[in-house]
Amino acid sequence: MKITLSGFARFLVAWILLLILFGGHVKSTNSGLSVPDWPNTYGHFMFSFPWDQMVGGIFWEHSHRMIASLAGIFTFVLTWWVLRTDQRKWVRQVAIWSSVVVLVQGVLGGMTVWFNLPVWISSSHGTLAQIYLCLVLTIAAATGARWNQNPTNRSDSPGVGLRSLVLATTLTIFCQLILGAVMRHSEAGLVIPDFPTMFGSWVPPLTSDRLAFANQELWRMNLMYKIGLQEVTMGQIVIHLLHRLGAVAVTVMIVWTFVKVRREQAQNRMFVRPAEGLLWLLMIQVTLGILTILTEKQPEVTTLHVVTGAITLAVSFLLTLHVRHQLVPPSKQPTTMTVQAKEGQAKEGQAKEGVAA
Amino acid sequence: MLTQSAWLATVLVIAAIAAGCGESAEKSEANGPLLKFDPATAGTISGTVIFQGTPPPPTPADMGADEACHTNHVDDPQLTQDVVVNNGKLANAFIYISDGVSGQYQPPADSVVLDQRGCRYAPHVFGIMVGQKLAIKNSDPTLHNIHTMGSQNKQFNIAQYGTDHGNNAGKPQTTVKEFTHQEIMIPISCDVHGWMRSYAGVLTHPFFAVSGTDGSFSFKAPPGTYTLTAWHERLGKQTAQVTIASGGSASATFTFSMH
Repeated sequence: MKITLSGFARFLVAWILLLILFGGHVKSTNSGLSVPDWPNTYGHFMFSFPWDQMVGGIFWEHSHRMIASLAGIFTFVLTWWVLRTDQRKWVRQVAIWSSVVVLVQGVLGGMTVWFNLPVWISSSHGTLAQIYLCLVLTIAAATGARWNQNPTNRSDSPGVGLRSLVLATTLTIFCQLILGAVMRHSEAGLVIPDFPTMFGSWVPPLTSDRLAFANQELWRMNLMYKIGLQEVTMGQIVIHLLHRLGAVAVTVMIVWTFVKVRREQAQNRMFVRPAEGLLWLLMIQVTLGILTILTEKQPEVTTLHVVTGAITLAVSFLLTLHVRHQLVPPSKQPTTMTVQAKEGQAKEGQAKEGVAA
Repeated sequence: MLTQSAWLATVLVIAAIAAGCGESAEKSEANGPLLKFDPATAGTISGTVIFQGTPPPPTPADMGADEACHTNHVDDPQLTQDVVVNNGKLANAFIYISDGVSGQYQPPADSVVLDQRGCRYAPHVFGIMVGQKLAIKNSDPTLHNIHTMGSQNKQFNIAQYGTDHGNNAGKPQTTVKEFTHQEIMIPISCDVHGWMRSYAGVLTHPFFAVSGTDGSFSFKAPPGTYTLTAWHERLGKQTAQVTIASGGSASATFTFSMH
């Protein structure tokens, strides 16, 4: 079996999703500091750490590190392969950036250990993982056989075109993932423990009185102990609310994208399939988000929520790549008038040539 | 060119991050000479911590993640330690003078020992003075990490090999640490075994105690009027006022219930 460049890139995309799954579960099980040293593991070189000591949190953290190391090696191979075989400048740049990002991502991972999981380093680590996924996905798409399967000069619709809409949808999902990462790493995932209401009310707890009530309720429900906090702050409430509002924004954007694709590009399977996929993923993801709250952050549910978020971003990003590759903005498409004008000029030129002859 | 720029940017970002995360050397809180406590002139503060109502039923801690955890247990299954009530008396409450003491006292030469045995911390709750040695011991035949999560004291996260490790030759590995700032309370956890948790109350004076299995507590303090605070990991805080004379005694009762 011959391994193609695109096939290898697709394999790496799947590997990165596995990496995100293990990384997500490291946080869900609070195993991030179970291996206190980095890059070694309890003084051992990473790949020589005894298997029989892969217990409890060490299993998740150490597995995450090993999968990440292999992802790094695979990415360097991918970059080398692209530089050797692909002459497109932008693809070569994406390949180089994917190697740079995987290096920075590894160092960020190490820093989460060195500095005992500060919120912003851990959140950056979670966010950069999504960028890394999108970079490798770009290589997989651009080197695939279907990249140039469809014509690439069709005009987008005027007004809010599909090109702008899919980009906006992807950016909205990305922002939602950032909010999710900050919420997760600032322990704000359960600071509002009910859904769809907020402490039994439709009014968010954004006043000092309501915050005091929220704290009282969290102690009563024994969630404060479970979260490991003594007091919930307004900042945590706000980041949690923003993540809920972000879910509404993502829902609107995905539904809008789906409807527009079905109306304007119903024949193009490269657009329709990811748009349908996004709709399914949205339903799964919203369900998982609600379950994350209702199960009080049961680790498996929470991890699946993280992974589904990454897959949703990946599918939206893939749709964006294809749409922006195949459709051109209406302003760049030759209009009927310009075509007629050009034809007129050509006839005029021919007539002059005839007279001269 | 692009590659060079990318590398340069990466190095600069990492350097900036590292600089931002670096903490300045921690200083002890001591201002002026350290005071010495004279038990001869002291009185005794004692009392009981009561639990009112029906306590939550103790649940078995799931230690299935590591078979080695069972080596030091003869009384499996192990029960959770967050609310321990015997005949209406609450154990593991930390009682200390929160107001009325001035100055910083000299820490004792003795270390406080925190043992990891059967994948549990012993003691579950303890008091320690700023500058006093904390000897952390691993009596288990398995790896532990010890991770403190204080906000006033610099956090640490260290590894300890089990007694089964070649270098330890069956003896517990011990690491000595100390805290530099007063803090109520510092959670201590093992991230390998998620159920392991202990709490340290760090004070600049020695006037504290932890309620025993019968809910009682007792400690000596100089004559004076004080605010006593009782802290419990799940049940929050309560306060009481006491006054003691030299050689005298005072008592306080704290009553906790589920919220």
